Amino acid sequence: MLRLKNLTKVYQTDGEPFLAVDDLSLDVDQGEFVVLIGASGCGKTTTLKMINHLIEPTSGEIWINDVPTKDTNVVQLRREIGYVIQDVGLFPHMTIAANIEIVPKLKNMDKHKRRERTRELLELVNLDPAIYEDRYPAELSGGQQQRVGVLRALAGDPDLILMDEPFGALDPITRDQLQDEMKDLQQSLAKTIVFVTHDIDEAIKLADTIVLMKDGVIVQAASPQEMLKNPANDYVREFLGEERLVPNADVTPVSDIMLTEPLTISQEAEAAEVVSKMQKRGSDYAVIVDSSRRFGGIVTAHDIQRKGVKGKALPQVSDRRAQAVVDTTTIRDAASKLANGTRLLCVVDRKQRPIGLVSRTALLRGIVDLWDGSKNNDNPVNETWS
Amino acid sequence: MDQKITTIQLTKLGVDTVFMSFLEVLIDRRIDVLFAIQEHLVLVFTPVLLAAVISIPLGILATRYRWVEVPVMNIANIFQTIPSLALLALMIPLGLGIGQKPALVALFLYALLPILRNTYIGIRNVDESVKEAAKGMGMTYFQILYMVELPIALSVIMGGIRTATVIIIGTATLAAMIGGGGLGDFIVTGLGMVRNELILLGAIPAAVLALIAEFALGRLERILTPRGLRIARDS
Ligand SMILES: Nc1ncnc2c1ncn2[C@@H]1O[C@H](COP(=O)(O)OP(=O)(O)OP(=O)(O)O)[C@@H](O)[C@H]1O
Ligand SMILES: [Mg+2]
Repeated sequence: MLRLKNLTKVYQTDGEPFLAVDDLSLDVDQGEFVVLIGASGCGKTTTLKMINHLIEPTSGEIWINDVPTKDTNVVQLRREIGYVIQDVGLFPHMTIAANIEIVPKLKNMDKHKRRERTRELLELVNLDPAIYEDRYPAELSGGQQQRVGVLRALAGDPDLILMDEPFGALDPITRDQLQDEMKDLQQSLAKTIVFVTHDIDEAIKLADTIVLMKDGVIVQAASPQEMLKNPANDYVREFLGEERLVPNADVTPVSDIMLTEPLTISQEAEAAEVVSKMQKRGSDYAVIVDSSRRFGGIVTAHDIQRKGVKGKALPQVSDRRAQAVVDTTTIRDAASKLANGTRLLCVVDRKQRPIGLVSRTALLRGIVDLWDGSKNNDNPVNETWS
Repeated sequence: MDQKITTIQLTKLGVDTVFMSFLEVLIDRRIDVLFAIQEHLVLVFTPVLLAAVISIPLGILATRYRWVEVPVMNIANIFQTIPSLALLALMIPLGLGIGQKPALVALFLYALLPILRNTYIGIRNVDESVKEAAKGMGMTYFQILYMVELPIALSVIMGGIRTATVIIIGTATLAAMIGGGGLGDFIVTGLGMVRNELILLGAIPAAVLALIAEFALGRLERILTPRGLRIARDS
């Protein structure tokens, strides 16, 4: 959707060239929420403003929907890109409605349609149009002003929205509220957003992709989970902060601690075959799968011994206290299942195919590993459980 | 005791005498006074309007280009710094002679700075963030000027025009020194003949004009201030 190709910006200060953005390339998908983050002066704003040509790149190209922006008229281009800044910059002499309607007005949209849309937008952020549309910016709180700032950027219905530290000046509670609203808006309206912030927690909360910059270059671009899990280098590690790097049961998926490659057996298999496979693998349990390799239960060596399987279909002898969970389930949720009667969890992918197992022992070991920060997914499946 | 009372009474009597003779002259020469007021208004509004027409665009340009800002602001400053009487008198050696024309030129030069300065400050004071938002949303250069900068700066610019008008109403009384006419004629004559009532005949209408201008233009300024800005300013 948005593609930055080898973007470079050199500022001239007193004849001295200063490389603010250095050969930066980035691809942003339609509907993606990208957060640019980095220390002050690393070139975030410069990068952002090059996208709507408030700053002209020294070299490199910006492509939006497969068209290089240098071929489009900048004024037209900007009307198709939403823009929100930290200082809000509402027009103090215009009413809230007039502020929101600027871009539609510039685009000669019908007056009544404009007003209708304004009211819809105000309702979207819980500002009653009857109360607020005729007010002036000076009559709004900081948080309300920035909500209007965001609406003003949405009013022209742009696919792409640029935001430069939009919530930086707000108190923490209001900021948190606006972040939630922003994420909801972005998901319901499917907007592509490039968002600049200083605040790593804000980035983790909002981003699909965090782009961490330093001295005009990208140090790492990855999803928040990926970045927390695998920081590219010490700078990233330091930037994220050790306390965030300690994996946390509320966000870490159960797939991080599961015992991988579980023994699977077809539901038509014979008992003798099951037993011999278990012995060979040194495993006390096996996952039953159907012809499409979908999860169908778990049998344990114990069950087979006790109940015998002769003449019974495998699913009938399967452990009733085993259950399947998807791989994105958090460790916390898995723990609460295991604490409430379930003995064994089979982790399945989106197609219901087993990809791992979590027993109580495995869960405890996983949590201990989280604390120690030394994750080890290669535990052999050799424990016995009773 | 007695003597004191007498002095007070005499002083009172003196004031009354001047005032009585002022009224007498006023009634007597009301046509002349009206004519002088009209002349005076020409001496005020022509230069102020011309100065506004020139200063507002120049003030805007000065906010855009440093090469306009530096010479323009300095020159206007110089005109403002030269004592008004001296500036009027300077017109003579500059070859403009005497009469209304050189007076208009001098008063025009004098009116430039207040309007220029206020335009410059008014536009300059528009929040950077407001301008950035305007530009980022796709307003053209001129749309930013007339939809954002000028409306926000308008009351400050009007303030410049008001200041210039009030100053020029006063300064224009000096125009009579170079034969420019107006209410100053009475003052100059009165000074020459040591007739207080004639001085008052020029001074009082000039003062009244200045007060009216201050009040009326002040009102206009408030009316022209967008409501949103008034709220912002009052809160
Ligand atoms: N107009 C300019 N002229 C010269 N240098 C500039 C200009 N604008 C920015 N810079 C420099 O370029 C570098 C990057 O600036 P930029 O504003 O992109 O940083 P940033 O990452 O947005 O920082 P912050 O988090 O403080 O907003 C900084 O070192 C800054 O000093
Ligand atoms: Mg910045």
